[in-house]
Amino acid sequence: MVRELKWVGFDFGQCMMDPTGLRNYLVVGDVSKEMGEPELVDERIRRYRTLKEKYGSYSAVKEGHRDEIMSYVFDGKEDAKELFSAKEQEHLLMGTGLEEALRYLKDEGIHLAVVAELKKTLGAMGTDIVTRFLQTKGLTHYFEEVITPQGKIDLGDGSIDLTYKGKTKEAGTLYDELMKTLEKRGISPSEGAMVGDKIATDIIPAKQRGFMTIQYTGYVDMGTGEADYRIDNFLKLKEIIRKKV
Amino acid sequence: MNGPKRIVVEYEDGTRREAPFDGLSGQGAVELSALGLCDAPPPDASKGYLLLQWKDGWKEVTAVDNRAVEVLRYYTIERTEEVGRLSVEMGDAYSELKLIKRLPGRVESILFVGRHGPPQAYVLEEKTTVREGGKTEHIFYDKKRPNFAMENGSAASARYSMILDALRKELEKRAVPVRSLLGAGAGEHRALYGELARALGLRGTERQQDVYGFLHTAIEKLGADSD
Repeated sequence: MVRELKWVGFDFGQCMMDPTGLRNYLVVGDVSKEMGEPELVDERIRRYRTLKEKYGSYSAVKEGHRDEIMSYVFDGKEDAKELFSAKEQEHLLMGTGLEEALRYLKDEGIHLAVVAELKKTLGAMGTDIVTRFLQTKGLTHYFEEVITPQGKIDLGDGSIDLTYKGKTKEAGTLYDELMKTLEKRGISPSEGAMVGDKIATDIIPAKQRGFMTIQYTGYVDMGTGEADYRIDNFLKLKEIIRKKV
Repeated sequence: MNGPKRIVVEYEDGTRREAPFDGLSGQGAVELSALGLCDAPPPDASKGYLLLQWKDGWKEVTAVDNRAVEVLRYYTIERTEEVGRLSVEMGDAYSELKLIKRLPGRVESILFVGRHGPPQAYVLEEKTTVREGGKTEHIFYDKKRPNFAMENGSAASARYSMILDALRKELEKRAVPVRSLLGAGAGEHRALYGELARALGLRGTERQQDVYGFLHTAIEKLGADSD
């Protein structure tokens, strides 16, 4: 059944952004080689894997302990910081069918936003992993805003709305704030959808507030939950959503 | 006990440099002991040890830091790993084998600049697939198979000339005469060689020293061509 909607939010990590290409040998290896230190590649990969064991996942390391990547893995070398971010972006992929689906939704006139659990304090556009990804992949023009616990970034002018500061997807407080924003635009939760891979942060709290929920399983499948739909390719959104007039 | 205290390196001009023996890594001490310069490192009872036992009876021991308190997790990763194997003919000796780990299926070409004869170039194109049990080999070049051939000599020379031209321009930009670099080792101009490597986009596969050696070989060629 096709649902008529006015707003769609997309989760970022492991959803829009597919980290399949982020192999340690490519990212840590390329950074070390760029720094003229190919001899240290294997040892640095070992240290990076050690950090993953400490914090449980690479995304946990990158989102919450980026400083340790620099100090522990790259011996505190300043030039590694920018190189690491650049290489990371270079090897990140888009989720399957993402751009075509975004083009379809945008052409339909549906408002689009990224809704991400970004932990790093926001700076200028392109300095955080989400806006940098959008810029690198040429996706910025599809979205109106990036909503994060660090604030809401207006992709039109780069301004940051700090009323979202400290609110999270998991606690649901970020969706509460989002509902207020959408209400001002005349959009109710039943006219919006949240697309994401994580049941605890993208599906359950969004559904509890009346949003349609779509579980993306193209990179990781966290099992069947309460989502209204499950898709493994963003192109399937074309079969699920159309513009509500 | 007569333990080693210092490492002394003596140079051709008779000067010496010294460092405490304790600064050596365990592997370094093992290598010196292999040269007969010291005893093998003694057993280290200050560490923790893990004994792994396999279902087939195999046992292995590995040391861990003395601060270790318990096992955090053990898991295996199953994924298809792609590794490039690049072997180089050595005449009468065994072939030299290099493992290529960075995006091996996307290596486009190989330029071989040897000490004997003109440069050789190989354009890599997958033409044969060989399956053996769970292993699949994608053959991009194989001298022993009839459907592969290296590029002709002029194409290979043209590839090398492009690199030499780019190097010459970088040296000119820095007002460094080729002659000033001849006779000196890459080590004497390490900073310059590092700059040149970055400018030409050259990175070491395993050792940065290889990049500097490649550059020095090219500088020698520029010097010989200008004679």
